[in-house]
Amino acid sequence: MAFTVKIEGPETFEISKECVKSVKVTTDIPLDSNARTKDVGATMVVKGKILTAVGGDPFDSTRKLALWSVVPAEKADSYRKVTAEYVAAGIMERKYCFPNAFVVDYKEDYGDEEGIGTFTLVIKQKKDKISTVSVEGGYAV
Amino acid sequence: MGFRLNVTGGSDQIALDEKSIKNVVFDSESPADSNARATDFGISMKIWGKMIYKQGGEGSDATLELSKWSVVPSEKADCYRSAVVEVVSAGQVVRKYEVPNAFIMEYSEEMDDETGVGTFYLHVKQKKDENDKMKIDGGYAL
Repeated sequence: MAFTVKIEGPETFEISKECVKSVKVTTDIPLDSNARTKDVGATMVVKGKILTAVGGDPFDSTRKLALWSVVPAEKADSYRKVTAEYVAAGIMERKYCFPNAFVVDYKEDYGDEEGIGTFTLVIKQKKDKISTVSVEGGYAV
Repeated sequence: MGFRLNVTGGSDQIALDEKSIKNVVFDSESPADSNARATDFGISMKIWGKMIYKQGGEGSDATLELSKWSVVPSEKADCYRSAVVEVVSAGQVVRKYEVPNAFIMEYSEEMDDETGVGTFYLHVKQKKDENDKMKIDGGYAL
């Protein structure tokens, strides 16, 4: 069971399976709807570790998430394509794709006890582009 | 994992290191109900640590300076200062956050007669209209 999260924008980077701990995808619908709403949102919450590179390995790409989180709304690259893949026992169980995702919240957390940092990324698909969100799965990798 | 905080722009430089800082949180937050990327987002840093008093009263205790900064009125220029936080691990700088126009949102100190050491909590935010000046660096050897 492993998750990888790929972010495609001006540069493409991947948050590796060593880093990603959990992925949560929710569809947000107003609870007071009386019929199928037009007001549907899609949110993804990715949690993971911030690892220190040792032995000359390249650093993990979590810093690029932090940089994305401070891109102002006026810039085109505040929207990026995010793909989260969940592979278990050689099967692609789920592949979520948000083609126009923006950052709602980004947090990095460090303590002097854990030895690693943790991050929490909350992204949403641009609401008027909700129809482009894709969910696939159930095929061999 | 060790943390270093450096605050410049006031009358005295404030420096705290891994001996006193216990936790660091970086946060980039926008309203949770945004339908598209918000212009209105805030960048904040939260730091928790121990108040290490100087033995024999030599030199000044950095948390005393933090405490003084937290009561600087908004009319004074030095209520905005530059704060640099470094996260160091295994001889490498994992992150270096530079908040060039930081102001204090929250500051608290707590002491009691049991623990022998006090703790502080500092919450600074980048001045919102200067958000683009925030720098996030890291991934290099110390």
